[in-house]
Amino acid sequence: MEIFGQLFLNSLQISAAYILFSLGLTLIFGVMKVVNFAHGEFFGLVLLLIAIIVPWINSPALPLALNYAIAGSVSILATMACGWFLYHFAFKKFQRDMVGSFVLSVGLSLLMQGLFLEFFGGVPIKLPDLFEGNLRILGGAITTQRLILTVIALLVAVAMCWLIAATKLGKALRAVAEDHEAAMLQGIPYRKIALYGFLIATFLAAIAGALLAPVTVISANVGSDFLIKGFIAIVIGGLGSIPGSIIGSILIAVIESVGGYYFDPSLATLAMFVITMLVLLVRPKGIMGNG
Amino acid sequence: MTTAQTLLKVDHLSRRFGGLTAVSDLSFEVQAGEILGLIGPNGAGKSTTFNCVSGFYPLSDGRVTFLGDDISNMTTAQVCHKGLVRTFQHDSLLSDMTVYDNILIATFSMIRSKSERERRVHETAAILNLSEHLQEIAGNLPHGLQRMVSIAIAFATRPKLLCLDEPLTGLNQTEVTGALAIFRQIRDEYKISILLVEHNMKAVMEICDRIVVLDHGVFLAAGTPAQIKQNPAVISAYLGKRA
Amino acid sequence: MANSRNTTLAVLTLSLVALAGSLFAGTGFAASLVIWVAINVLLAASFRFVQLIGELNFAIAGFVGLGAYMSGICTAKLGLPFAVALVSAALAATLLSLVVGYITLRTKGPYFMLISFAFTEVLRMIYTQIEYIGGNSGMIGIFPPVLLTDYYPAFVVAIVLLLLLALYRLEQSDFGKVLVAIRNNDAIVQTVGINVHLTKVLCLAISSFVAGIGGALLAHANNVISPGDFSFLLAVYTLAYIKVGGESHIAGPILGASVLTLLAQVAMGFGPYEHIFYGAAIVIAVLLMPDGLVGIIRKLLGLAPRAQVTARH
Repeated sequence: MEIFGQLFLNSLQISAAYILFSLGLTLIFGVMKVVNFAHGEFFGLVLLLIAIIVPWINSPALPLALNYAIAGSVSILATMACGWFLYHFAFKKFQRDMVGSFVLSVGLSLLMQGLFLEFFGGVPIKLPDLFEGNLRILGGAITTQRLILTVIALLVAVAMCWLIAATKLGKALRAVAEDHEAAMLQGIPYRKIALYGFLIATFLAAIAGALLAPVTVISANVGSDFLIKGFIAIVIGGLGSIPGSIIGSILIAVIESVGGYYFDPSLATLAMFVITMLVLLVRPKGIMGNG
Repeated sequence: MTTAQTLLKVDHLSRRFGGLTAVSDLSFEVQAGEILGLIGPNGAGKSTTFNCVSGFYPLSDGRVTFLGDDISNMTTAQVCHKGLVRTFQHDSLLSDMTVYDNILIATFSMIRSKSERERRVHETAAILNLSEHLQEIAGNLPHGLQRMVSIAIAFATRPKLLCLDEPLTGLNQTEVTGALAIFRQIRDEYKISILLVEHNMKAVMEICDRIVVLDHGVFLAAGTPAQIKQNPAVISAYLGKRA
Repeated sequence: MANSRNTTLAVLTLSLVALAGSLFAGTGFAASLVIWVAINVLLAASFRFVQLIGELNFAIAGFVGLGAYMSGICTAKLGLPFAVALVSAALAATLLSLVVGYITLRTKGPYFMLISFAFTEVLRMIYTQIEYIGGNSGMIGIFPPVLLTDYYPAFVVAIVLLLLLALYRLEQSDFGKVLVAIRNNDAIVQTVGINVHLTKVLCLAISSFVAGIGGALLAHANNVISPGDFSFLLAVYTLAYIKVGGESHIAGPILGASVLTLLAQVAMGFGPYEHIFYGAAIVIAVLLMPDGLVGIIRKLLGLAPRAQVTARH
């Protein structure tokens, strides 16, 4: 029972981050029909900026929580500006061009990682813990800060799902995702909605980064590992499907935590790939996918 | 006089998508040497029937036989080899290739020799009035000619049954008359039967030997154009729908 | 058409020049560069061949790796003749691609890309687990036969030219037309009686055959191979060559691979900026040169631009 509890907690943590990440990825795909391979770099950018800012403004007079809050906010804003910039100068021209946008995003991802490496250097950084303490829940151990961050992440995810399901913006996003021509006929401003979708997705990746900053080892290519898993999650779940991305993320998280616990992590990744191949063979458009 | 040969037999065909029944218990036949019209208001299940018959959708229930062979579970390519070929309403041709190549592709699985294929392409193009446009990119042609190209592709395989999915959409009156003449030529000279899904009622009444009417996925009526025109059930289905 | 005869003459001349030049490349840095460019050209051409059916073959690294390892085993472990190494590399890659392609080509677009990427990573991880081929550290001692040592660049260029010719002829043939038709609208191709799935599998198999040989040539050029050489990054670099060179003609991969490989050498002189270089190359090519260098040349020569073909997914 203890092992169950531990695995449950591990899966919960991991899936929270993946859910935020893949929600954004699948949103971009749904609204713009773009496969954004550079999405991970937003996540990475936030982490790297926080890794620079926190030590920089650190002082005995500044409570750590406030430090993180400032660093987090600044990084998220900077990353969203970056997202806006990329949308206008790159992705806007490649909407509904899956191949073109994918290739472009691959190039961007490579370019950004190279730049990160240049400015950040190759040495990974671990930031100081935000909260101290451990808890035991359901027989498993979890640090207090991981628990708090996970809960916040899940709340953000829930808020996002609510936004998509219940608000006017969310309805517009869904309309465009389902049939953008029909949406335009109904007077929905497609370009604006696409921009909002892209920015929301960027925000999700950014906040995932901010929430993970205290608990992750930060390096220049931290985004790409996340990206691959996020990509797997949304493809398994079905491109463009919100529930699909959640299912996919949970599945990936469970494989990672179970695999990492009983076997070694690289074997877990191997299992993830094999399972991906199997799912796609049985359901070529993902579990909830329908094109 | 020999009895007409049954080409296509649709037997209690049903097709369901999740909770929705698109076609239910549909049965009809296409005889050799006839042009059969499949009509019905929007959403009647015509396209679904087409897709089931030509191997694009599996059947939920029932059977489709072609010249005695059960083709219910055959792939589209296999169905083509049996002699049944279809056109598409949308995305109906290879828009980035020349008209020549569009028709040529259709000859590959049917003809071995290069010179034979060339001959088939030219002959097909001539029937469809495309001979002057062979070297043009299909996607750049005006809509009417594009329709002709999509019919040419299917016709080039010299099937036994040609299934045309709304071939007259967007054609003006002159083009429609021209198309109908071509259909007659295909039926009479090349002995190819035609299954026609169409919304253009005037054309349907003019060209079809028989008509089958669907409504809400169910068989409504069948008969000659004269019979269908006077059929009260058909009239109310259309009037009620404003198709 | 006089135009096409001129082109053929030009191509023939260039090829002979390339071949002759490579005979004098010697065995130093120039030789390595020639080999490197040639193999990159080959891989780019292989990747591009699958683009004819509208797919991005991110599994290419897997087949290159298999060819490399297969030939390495033949040469370094089993002491078999070089010809056997080459043939077995090609065969292994082709056979594997037939099996994998039959399964994975049921998917399309981003799904196919992901499953191909997954396949590459799985293969790579398998290599790291097998002691016989050196595990994570890789295999060493893969040398071309003594007779070829001085002329290895010329040999590589010759093989690459032959394979390029074969790929070009295939693309221009009726088979090539079917591939392009499939990319355009595979429903129509099915309707006229062609087994689209098997055709796609065959296309992938041809590309993998070439990739396998490329892997073998690579292994014998570097003399050392390890699993890390055959990762997703290899496919991305190949993609860069094609994007810069242009997709619409087989000259594209040739131009793109040559230009980028040579430019990379220059850029490398300023520091380890590989990722930035290739990333920027792709971004600039996609945003500013949609038809690549080939497109620019077409414009300069006053030729009509190729119709933009996008795969429908």
